[in-house]
Amino acid sequence: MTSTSSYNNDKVVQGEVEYPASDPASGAFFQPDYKKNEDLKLMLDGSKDSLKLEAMKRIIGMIAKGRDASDLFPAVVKNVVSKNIEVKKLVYVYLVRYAEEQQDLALLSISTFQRALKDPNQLIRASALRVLSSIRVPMIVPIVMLAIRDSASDMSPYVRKTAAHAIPKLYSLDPDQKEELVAIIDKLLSDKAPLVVGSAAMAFTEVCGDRMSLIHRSYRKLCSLLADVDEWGQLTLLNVLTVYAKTCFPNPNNDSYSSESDKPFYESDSEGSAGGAAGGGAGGAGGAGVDADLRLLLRAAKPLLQSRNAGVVMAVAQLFYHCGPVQELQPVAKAMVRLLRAPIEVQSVVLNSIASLTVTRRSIFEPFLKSFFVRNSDPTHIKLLKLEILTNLSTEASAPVVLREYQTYVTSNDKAFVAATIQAIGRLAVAIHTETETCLNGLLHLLSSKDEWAVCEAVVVVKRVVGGGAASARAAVSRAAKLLRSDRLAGNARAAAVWLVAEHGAKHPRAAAILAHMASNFADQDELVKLQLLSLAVKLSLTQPDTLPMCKYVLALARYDASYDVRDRARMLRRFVEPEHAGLLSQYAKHIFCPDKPKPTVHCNYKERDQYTVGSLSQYIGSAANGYRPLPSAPRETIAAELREIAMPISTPVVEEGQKNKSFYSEPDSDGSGSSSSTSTDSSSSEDSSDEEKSNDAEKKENKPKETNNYKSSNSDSSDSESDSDTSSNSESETANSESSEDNNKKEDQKETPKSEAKDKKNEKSNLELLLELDEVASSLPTMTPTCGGFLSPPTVPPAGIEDADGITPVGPALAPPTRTEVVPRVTSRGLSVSRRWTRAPHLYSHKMCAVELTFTNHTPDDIDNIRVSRKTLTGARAVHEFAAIPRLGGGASVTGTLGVDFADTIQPVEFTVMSSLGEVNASITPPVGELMRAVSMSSARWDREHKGLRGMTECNKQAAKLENEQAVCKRVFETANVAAVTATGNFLRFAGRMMSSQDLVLLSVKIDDESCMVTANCSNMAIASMLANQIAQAFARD
Amino acid sequence: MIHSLFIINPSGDVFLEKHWRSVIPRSVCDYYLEAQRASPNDVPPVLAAPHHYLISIQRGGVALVAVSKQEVAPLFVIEFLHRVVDTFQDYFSDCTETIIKENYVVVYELLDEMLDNGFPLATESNILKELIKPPNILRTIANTVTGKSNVSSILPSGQLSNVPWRRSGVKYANNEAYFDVIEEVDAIIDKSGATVSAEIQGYIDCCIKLSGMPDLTLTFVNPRLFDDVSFHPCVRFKRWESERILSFIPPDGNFRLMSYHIGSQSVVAIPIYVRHNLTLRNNGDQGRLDLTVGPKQTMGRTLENVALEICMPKCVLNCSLTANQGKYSYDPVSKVLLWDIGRIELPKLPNIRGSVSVASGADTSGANPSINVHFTIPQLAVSGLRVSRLDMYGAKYKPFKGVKYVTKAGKFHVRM
Repeated sequence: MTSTSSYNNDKVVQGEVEYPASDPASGAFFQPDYKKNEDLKLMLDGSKDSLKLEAMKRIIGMIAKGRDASDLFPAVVKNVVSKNIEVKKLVYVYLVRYAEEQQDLALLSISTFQRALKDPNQLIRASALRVLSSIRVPMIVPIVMLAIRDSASDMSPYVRKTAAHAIPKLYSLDPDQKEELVAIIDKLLSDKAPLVVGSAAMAFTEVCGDRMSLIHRSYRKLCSLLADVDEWGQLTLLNVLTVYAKTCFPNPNNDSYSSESDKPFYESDSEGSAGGAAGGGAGGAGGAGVDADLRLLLRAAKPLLQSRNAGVVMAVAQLFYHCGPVQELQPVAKAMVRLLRAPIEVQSVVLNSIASLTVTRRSIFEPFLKSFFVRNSDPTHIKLLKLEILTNLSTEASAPVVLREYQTYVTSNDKAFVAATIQAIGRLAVAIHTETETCLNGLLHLLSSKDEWAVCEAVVVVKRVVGGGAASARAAVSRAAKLLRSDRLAGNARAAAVWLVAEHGAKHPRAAAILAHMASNFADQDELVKLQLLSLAVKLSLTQPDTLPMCKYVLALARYDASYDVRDRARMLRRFVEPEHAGLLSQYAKHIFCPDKPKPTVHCNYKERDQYTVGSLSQYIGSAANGYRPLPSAPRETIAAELREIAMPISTPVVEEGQKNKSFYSEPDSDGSGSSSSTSTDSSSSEDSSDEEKSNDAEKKENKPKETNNYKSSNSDSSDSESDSDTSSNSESETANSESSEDNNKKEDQKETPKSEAKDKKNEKSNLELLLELDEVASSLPTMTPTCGGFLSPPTVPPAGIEDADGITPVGPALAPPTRTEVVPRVTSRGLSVSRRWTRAPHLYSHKMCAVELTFTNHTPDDIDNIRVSRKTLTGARAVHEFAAIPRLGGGASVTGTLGVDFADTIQPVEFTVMSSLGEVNASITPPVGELMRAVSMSSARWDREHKGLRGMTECNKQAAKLENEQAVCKRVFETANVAAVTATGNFLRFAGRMMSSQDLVLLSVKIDDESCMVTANCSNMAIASMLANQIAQAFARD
Repeated sequence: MIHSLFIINPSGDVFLEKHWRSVIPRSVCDYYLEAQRASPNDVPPVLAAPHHYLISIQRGGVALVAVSKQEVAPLFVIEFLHRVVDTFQDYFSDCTETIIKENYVVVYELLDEMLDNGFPLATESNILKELIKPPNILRTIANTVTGKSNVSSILPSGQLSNVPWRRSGVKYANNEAYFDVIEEVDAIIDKSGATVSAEIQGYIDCCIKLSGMPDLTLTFVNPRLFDDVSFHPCVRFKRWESERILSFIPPDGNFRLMSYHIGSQSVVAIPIYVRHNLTLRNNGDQGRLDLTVGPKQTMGRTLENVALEICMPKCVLNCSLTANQGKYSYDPVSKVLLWDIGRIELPKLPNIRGSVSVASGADTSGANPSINVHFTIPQLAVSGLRVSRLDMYGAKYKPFKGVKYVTKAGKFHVRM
C-alpha cells in the first residue's frame, strides 16, 4: 500500500468519525462491502479507543447477522490487549467465534489471558478463564488444563464457578483429559459455596454423569445446599441427585403400590392419607420405608416446588416420581397444575409429562380434573394433550362430567381436535363399563352428524368399541345400515360400516338388503370396501342361507375386478361357498367366519413414553434423544450408606451444633461409624487432607439451622470479623490472599516445573515453544498471584506419606476450638490488640503449617494503617507464612488474618513483631502440643497394630480424673488435641493423629476404670507423647 | 445445554445468531420454519431434527430458537429463553425485531454474560445491570463525553452474596414500597350459564424503591385462601411454612413477589354474566344475535374495560348490529366480532342485537362459537384476599407503603 492511498483511507476514516452515532442498525453496515472491511481494519489499527469500539461494534453486528468476518481476525486479535474494557469484551466475543478457524493467529492472544488469569480482580480472572477455555484450539489444551486446575482452588467462588464451566469445554476439546478433569470436578463438588456447586453439578453431568461414586462424599452437603443454589444450578443438581438417589436407594414404594393403575378404587384411600401426610409437614410418619438419606433429599427438594422456575418444579416432580414414596406425590401434582398458567411452551411440556404420569399415577391428578378442560383459544396440540389427560383421568365417578365436556368438544371448529375427541370417547367406552352405553349412543348420534369428517371418525371408533360384541351392537348396526343406504360415507368409514354389519349384524334382517344395495354398484366401491363386502357376503350366506345366490353374484363380480387383492380374496372365499369344492373347509366355515372374538384393548399414546425420565426431552419427543441416559433401576438395598457418612466428622455430641434439628446427623451415627467408615475408605481413600477438611467444615456449617436465604453468612468476600463460626470458612480464602511478594519468586520456581511438565507431553509443535516463552514472560511479571497458593496446596502435590494405602486417612478436625487468647494486649501496643485462635484447618501454603487465625482489633478511635508481620525470630526448621498486610483498620473495627506456622513439632514459641502505623510490638505464639498434630482416621484393628509398634519408651501413661461418660471424655480430648476418634464408645477409647512436620503417628487412648481414667499417649517422639498425656490429664482434671 | 440461539422474525428471517459452542449452520432453523409454516400458531416447543433438537418460544412477534445437540430438560431451555426475553424487555422496555437490531451490541454482550458454554451464568437482572449498563440517552451522551463504557470492570457484589437479586448501596430520596395484588379469573361458563370450571390466578407485583438492605415482612389477613403458591427466590420459605407470612429482602425495582392459585376446589365468585342468543338459519337467511352483559357478585364494585370477543362460525359473512353502549367491529376474514363496552353502569345493561348474514348453503349446525370476556374490577380482589400489614426491619427510615387490588378476567370463556 502506498503512502498516498493510506492517506486517502485515513481521510475516509476521519469522515466516518464525524458521524459515529449514526444508527448502526440502518443496514448500511451490513452490506457485504469489501471496502467496509478495509475501513474496519484501519479503525482497529488506529490508536483511538472510540474508533476501535465503533469498529468492533460493527464487526459484532456482522457476526450477529451471520456474516463472515473471519478476514478481520489479525486486525481484531491485536486489540485483545486493549485497555478499554468494552473493546476487550467485544474482542473476546469475536475471538471465541473465530478462533477455531484461525488457530495459529489465535495463539497470539493466549499470553494475554495467562496474564489476566493472575489479575487481582476476580472478574478479570474469571473472564480470562472463560475466554481461554472457549477458544477451541487443541494446542492450548495443557494451558487450559493448568488454568482450570489453578482456578478451581481460587479464593473467589466466582472464579471457581467459571472453572467448573470450563471443564466441559476442555473435555469436548480433548476427551483424553477426562481423568484429570474428574479429579477437579470431585474437588468442586465438595466446595461449600452454593455458587460453585450448581456449576460443578453441570460439569459432572457433562463429563462423567455416570460416576455416582463421586457424589457419595458430598451427598449430604449437596442436599443441604440445594435451597441456596441459583435456580439453574438447582435444576442440574436435582437431576444429578435424582440419578444418584435412584442408583443408591431402594424404591420406597412397596409392591402393593406399584400396580396402581389396575385398581383405581384403592387410590381414593391412599390419596387421602397422602394428603394427610403432606399436610402434617415433615412426612416422617408417612415414609416408613424411606432411607434417612433419601428423606434428607426429598425434604430439601420439596420447598423447591414453590419455585418460580418451571424447570425446577419439573425437576422436583421428576425426583419425587422416580424416587419418592407414592404417598407424597400430591403436592407435586398441585405444583404441576400450577404451571399450566405459564406460557404456552411450558404448558405443552408440562401437559406432556402429566399425560404420561396419568397413565401410571392417575390418582394424584384426579382432583384437578377441571384444570384440564379445553378452551377454544388453546392451540391444537395443547388441546390434544388435555384431551389425552382427561381420558386418562376419568373414572366411573367423573366420566359423566368428562363426557359432557366431550359433547361440547365434538362441535369444535378444529377438525383434528374433533377427531381426537371421538377417539377419546371410544377409549372411554371401552375403559369404563358403566359408560359404554352412553358413549356408544353418543357415537352413533355422531354417525348422523352432517359433518362428514366426524362421521368417518365415529364409524371407525364404533367399529373398535363394538369390536368384541357389546350390548348395543344391534343398535349400532341399524344406524350403520342406514348410513350405508344413504351413501354418505367415504372410504374408510364405509368399509368400517360394512365390517360392522358383517361382524355383528349377520343375523340382522337389514343386512341382506344392504348387501344387495352395495352389490348393485360393486365396481364403484373402494378396494377396502370391496374386501369387506366379500366377507359380508360369505358371512351372510352362512347365517342366512337364502342369500347364497347374492353371495355368488358378488364373488363373480369380484372375480373380474381390477384389483388382484380382491380377485385373490374372491378366489379363496369361493371355496367356502361353492358346494362343488365343499370339503372340510365348508364344514368349518362357521368356525372360521363367526368365532367369538376377544375384546379389543385400548391403548394410550403416552404409555410407551413412561419409559423415559419425566420432563426429559426424550419423553417429549417420544424417543431416546442423543445423550439420553435412562435412570438406573433401583437397588434392593441401600448402597454405600457408609460412604455418605465418611465425610461427617465423627460427631460425638461434643460438637455443639450437633444436636440441632436434623436428627439423622447425630448420635446414632457415631457409634462404631469410625471403624466402619475407615474400613470402607479404600474406594475413596485418594482424598487428600485439605479436601476432606473442607467438606467437613461445610458439613458442620450445614448442621446449623439456617434460613434458606439467610444473607448474613458465607459471603467470603466481605469477611466480617465478628462471627467466630464464619471465620473458619473464611480462613482458607484469606490465606490464599496472604501471599507476600518475597515468597512469590520461590513459588514461581516451583510452579514452573509442573507447568512445563504438563506441556512437555505435547511439545511437538514449534508454536508451543513460542507459547512457553510467552508464558515465562507472563509469569515473571510482577503481578499478584493469589492463586498459586492453591497450586502448591495438597490437592495437586500430595505429601508423601500422608495417605498410606492401608487406610490411614486424614480427616477434618472433630472440633475447632472457639477460644481466643490474647497475643498482644491493647495496652502494650497503644490500642491495637491481637488475639489468636487455632482453626485446625490446613494452611494452604504448606501442609506442615498450622493455621493460626489472628484477630486485630483497633481500640483507638483513629485508623491504623498497614498492619503487617515483620522480623520473625525463627530457629531450626521452623517457618512462618504471614498474611497479606492489612492496609487500613478503622477505629473500633477488627479484622482477621491467618498466619501459617510450621512449628517443626516443638512447643518453642514463635516470636515476631507486628508492625503498624502505631509502631512495632513484639508478639509470640506458643503452641499447645495438641495443635501440633492433625486428625487422622483408621480402623481400630490398624490402631491396635500401630499401637503395638509404639510400646515401651514411646508410651506415656498418666492417671486422670474420671469423667461422667464417653462423650465428656471425647469432648475434653478434642478440646485439647487435634485428633480423631477411632473408637468413641465403650471403656477403651482410641484416638489418632499425625504430627504436622514429621508425619509421626500419635496414638492416644483413654481407659475408663471405676474410679479414674488412664490416659496413654504413644508417639515416636517421646517428648510429644509425655506432654500430650499430661495435657489431656490436666484437661480431665479441669472443671 | 444450549449450543446456539437463533432469533427469527415473523417473515422467517434469522436476524441474530449466537453460538456458545462450535458453530451450527443456520439452515437448522428450516425445521422450525417448516413447522411454523404448517401451522403458524401451533408450533410444538420442541422439535427433533436429525442431529439437533430445536426448542423455541414465540414472544413479541419474534421467535427464539435454541439448538441443542443432546438431551436437555426442555423446561430448562424454555424457562431460560423466557428469561432472555424478560431481560431484553427490562433493558429496552420491549423485545421486538427493531429493538433487538438497534441494540445488537448490548444484546450480544447480554447473551454472552447470561450463558457460558450453554449453561446459564448470570440471569438476575440486578447483576446484569451492574455488569452491562442499560442504554439510555443520558448515559450515551455521558459516555461519548467521558469516554467511559457501558461495561463494568468489577464483579457486581450481588453475584457473590446470598442475596444475588439485590445490589448493594441502593439509595433513594423517597422510600416507597408498592404492592399490586392482581387476580385473574379463569372460567368456563357453559351454554346454560352454569360454571363448568373457575379458578383464580393471583399475582403480587411489587415496585420497591427502598434504600439500604431492608428486610420486609408482609402479612395477610387470610393466608388460608391460598391453594398453591410460588415465590420469588427472595422469599424465605421456612417462615411461610411456619407462620404464613412473606419475609424477604426485596430486589430493587419491579418484580413479581409471588403468584398464587386458588383452585377449582374452592368456590370462586363469577363477577359477570352474559346472556346470549345466536340463531343461524340453514337456508341462507339472516341469522340473529342478541347479547346482554351484566354484573353479578361484584361486591358493589363496577366492572370496567369490559369487552367481548366472539369467534364466529365460518359460515357467517357479516354482522349488522346495534349496541346500546360501546362500539363493535367485525372482521370478516378472521370472523372475530369484537364488542368494546367499557364501563357497566347500572341499571342500564349493555346490549347488542342485530342480524348476521350467513353464507347460503353453508352448514350451520354444530357450530358453537365461544365468547372471550375481558373485564377489570379495580379495588377488589375477588378471592377476598387482604394484606394486613407490611413491616420493615434493618433500615431506619419510614417508607411510604401502598397496596392496590385489582381483579381481571383471565381466560374467561362463555360457550354459546
